[in-house]
Amino acid sequence: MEKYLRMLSRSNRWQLMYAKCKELNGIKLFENELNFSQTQINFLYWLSMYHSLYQDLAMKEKYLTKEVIIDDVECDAYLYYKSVAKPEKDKDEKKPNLTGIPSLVQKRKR
Amino acid sequence: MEEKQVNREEEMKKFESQVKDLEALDTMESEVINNTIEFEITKGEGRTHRVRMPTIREKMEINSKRLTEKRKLENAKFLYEAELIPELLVKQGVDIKKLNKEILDLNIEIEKMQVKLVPEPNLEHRAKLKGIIVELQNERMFKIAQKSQYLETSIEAQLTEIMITHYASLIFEKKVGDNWEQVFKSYDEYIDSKDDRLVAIAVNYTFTLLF
Repeated sequence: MEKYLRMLSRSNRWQLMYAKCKELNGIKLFENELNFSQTQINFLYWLSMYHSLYQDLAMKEKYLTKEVIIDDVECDAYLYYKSVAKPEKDKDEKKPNLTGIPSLVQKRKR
Repeated sequence: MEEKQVNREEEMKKFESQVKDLEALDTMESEVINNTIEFEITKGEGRTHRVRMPTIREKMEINSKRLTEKRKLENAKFLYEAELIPELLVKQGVDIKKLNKEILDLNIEIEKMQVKLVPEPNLEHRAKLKGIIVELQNERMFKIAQKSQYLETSIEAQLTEIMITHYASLIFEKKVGDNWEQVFKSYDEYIDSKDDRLVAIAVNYTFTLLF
């Protein structure tokens, strides 16, 4: 079931609907406005997830390709890598000081 | 010649699977849009039955029954999960805590493989890593199913099952002319039904829609 929910939410048609729905107020995704089913909530989650992945793809994010997006195993791996592994790697790297002002480490006087 | 035939068979299989996917996508799309699942009971008869979302009032009615059902289970000496876990260990030698640990370990292993897979440039290695991930996921799913099977007599699991039957008796409908009518007029009629297949279908679709 999740396989088809993901297929549907990454389809061009639904991605376009989602983008337009965000832009314009009048577009409704579902017939109901309240009382969402679990399936609808999961669908909204995947719509927004794939929307962000397509944006990453447009930004030429490292390791992300169209093939990764359409393969659930690779896509899950990428999402995990992006959420955990990558920030940890970034944390280790020292950010360069681009302000031109010498950095100052203040120490308490004893 | 022989090779051509094999390819034709492969193409046919591919096509059949594509048609199956399209059918499933259609069903999924209509389910997502109108919040109901329509389906057929007898093959070829068409979608004559459906489950729909319960209204807020129906949800409130069912939730009010939750406490009564919980008391019934307590009086019938059913155990809560936390009470059942040590009893399972003593009486049957089933270690749920160990099973939980194994599930967590599998999660960690899957995550490790995922981190390896993403930057891997070699296609062969990628396919191998993907295979390992799928295997680990299946193993995890098996252990989760095993765990819920062991805990199925707990008050929590029993209560969920009972609540699903309450919902199923309310939201399972059949098409009569242009209208949709409840299949079972009451919860008792549903519980007393001798049509096991119909009852199982109602529960299955209710679970799919609501949980």
